[in-house]
Amino acid sequence: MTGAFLAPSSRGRVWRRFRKRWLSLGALGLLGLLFAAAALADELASDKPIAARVGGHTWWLPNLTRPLELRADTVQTLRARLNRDQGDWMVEPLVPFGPYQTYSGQSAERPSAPPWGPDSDHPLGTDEVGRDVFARLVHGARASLTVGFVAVGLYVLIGLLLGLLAGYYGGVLDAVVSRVTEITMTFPTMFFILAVMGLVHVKTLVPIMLVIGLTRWTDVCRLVRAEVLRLKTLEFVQASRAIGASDLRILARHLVPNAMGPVLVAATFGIAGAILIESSLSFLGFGVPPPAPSWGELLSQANRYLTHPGAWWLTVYPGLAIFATVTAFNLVGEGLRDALDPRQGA
Amino acid sequence: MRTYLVRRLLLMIPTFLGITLVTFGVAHLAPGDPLQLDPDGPGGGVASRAAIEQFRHSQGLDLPLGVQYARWLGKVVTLDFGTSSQDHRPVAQKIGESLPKTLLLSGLALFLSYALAIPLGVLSAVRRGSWFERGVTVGLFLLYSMPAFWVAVMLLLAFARPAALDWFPLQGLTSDGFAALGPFAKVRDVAWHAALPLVCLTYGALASISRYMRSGMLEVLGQDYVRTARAKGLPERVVIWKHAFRNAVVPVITLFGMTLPHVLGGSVIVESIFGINGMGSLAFEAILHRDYPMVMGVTTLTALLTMASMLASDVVHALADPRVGAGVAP
Repeated sequence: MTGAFLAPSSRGRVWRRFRKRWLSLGALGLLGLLFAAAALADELASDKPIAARVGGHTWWLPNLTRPLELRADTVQTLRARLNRDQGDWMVEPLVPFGPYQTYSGQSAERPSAPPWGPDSDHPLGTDEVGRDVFARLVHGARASLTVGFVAVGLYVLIGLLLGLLAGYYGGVLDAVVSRVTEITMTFPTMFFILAVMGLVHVKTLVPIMLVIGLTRWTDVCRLVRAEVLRLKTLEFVQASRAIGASDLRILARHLVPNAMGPVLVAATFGIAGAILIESSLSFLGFGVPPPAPSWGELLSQANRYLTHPGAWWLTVYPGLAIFATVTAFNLVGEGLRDALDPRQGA
Repeated sequence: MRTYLVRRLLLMIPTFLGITLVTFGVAHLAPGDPLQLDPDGPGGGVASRAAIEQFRHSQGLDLPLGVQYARWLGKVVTLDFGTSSQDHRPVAQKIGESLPKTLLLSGLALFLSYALAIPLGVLSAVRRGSWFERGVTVGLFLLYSMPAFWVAVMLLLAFARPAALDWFPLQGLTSDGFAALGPFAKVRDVAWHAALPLVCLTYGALASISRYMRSGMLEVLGQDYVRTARAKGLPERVVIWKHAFRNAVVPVITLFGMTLPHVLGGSVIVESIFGINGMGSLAFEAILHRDYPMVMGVTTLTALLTMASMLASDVVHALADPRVGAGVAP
């Protein structure tokens, strides 16, 4: 994924160096697992089975297709209707609860109101309205990863473009870009993002990604600008200009690939940062719109249930999910930085 | 040096204008206004169109945006941020009440993070490769990745519940009978309340500052003049603290200009969890109630604080490194 942007000559070398850091490699593996969990969220936790044959009808992947005939059914009701003598069968998801499903089991077994602690039904417990925490976590991973990647992708694009223009053309353009960068950096980002999220009422992830993307591009811009200033005086750039290469060709073929290394490192750390911002906003109630699942929202419930009855599972599991994800991205970023650093030996 | 300072001060003007302009734009272009939310306000319930129009007119909300901005800016120069639309008290007065609490917490947090980060960073650079260094590096790395609101909730869960360890208070910055306490008891009471919020505000800055300190020290320790100092037989203590440390610490000191906005931003979450009515809570409440004058007042003031701290750190940098003031380095 990352290699595609780098100059071809350095791809193999960077990967060989990265491979030597087992901690970063492990973090990359963890991220792989996380992506798999997000991609397979409906197989890991859903209120519909993965496949089932009930009453002579066979359904494949009703957890994804959500057929109309099954709209009133859940894994639990299908279990009751399952007649194994007639050849019925069912492949259940790992946890038979969807992220929006409130559990309505026997009230005798659950005398008190939710949140309920971990038990055989809900391995990680339930939230304040009885929704399964594991299901909310797995499905919430999608929101976190989407926000992380899209927001960072957006600001890498903005930073790259502005940094290239400012560094390459200099002059008035550079002065304007530098000023805008400084204004953006001086902004109290958290207040600003909160203000925008509080004032704009859109029930999607778009504003949160836009607002992170539009406020956090300054580091990338400064990195690219500095790198372009350094590169454009080097001989290989002068040489390509001498043989008549256009500005666009020099920028795209020579400057971008060579400036990409530090940008990738910054982007990897940036994804960790964006996920932190997203979960903070969701914690405050300004992030992922409810009732969509998100890690920060689960933690905000933990804050509400602090004294009574002390629902530790609402604190520990979503917190660990955020912490592990952010740590993994940071570790991969560290590994990438060390692997790209030319001072680490030729 | 003087031309440098003047140039820096002049450059702050467009920055300030840019920030206020964007904030103003966001606050006024966003859909919805306080009239639509406040059920007891003139726009709530059964208020007539005429009453709404009259209210809009009295607040100047019917004027063109440019005129509204110019009016607002003119007042800001005299520190008049208008009145809060939540309780009709002057914005400046409300900020004045909450700013000291936030400044106390942020200031202490910054001080603590520097006081701990600098020795940690230096020691882990000097003892490179030792178990001490590895432990510190891993510990700080993990701290760096922990969301503050998670740490806050975990701390409360562990240390502020009668069901667990009941060591610290759950909410607020002072106890109920605070006014009646003696001066020492007052300090003790605030320290007792501030302990957990301070941990949350400190550890993030601590982690990043000590990483900077460590890498700065490592770079300096590898340089020729340090080798020379060692070669001429100076004691290791002198080499490290007089020769290496003095050069490595300057860029770290100037970091505080960049750290303060983070600490202030973090105060939104920490203050809302710990129930402290400082600037963070004020901003949060203002946003919840679409209280434009308040939102703009808080943002403007925070931006001013940030610019002042950046300027201060640049001046420190210029004083310590003559090349900066002379315009050699940016």
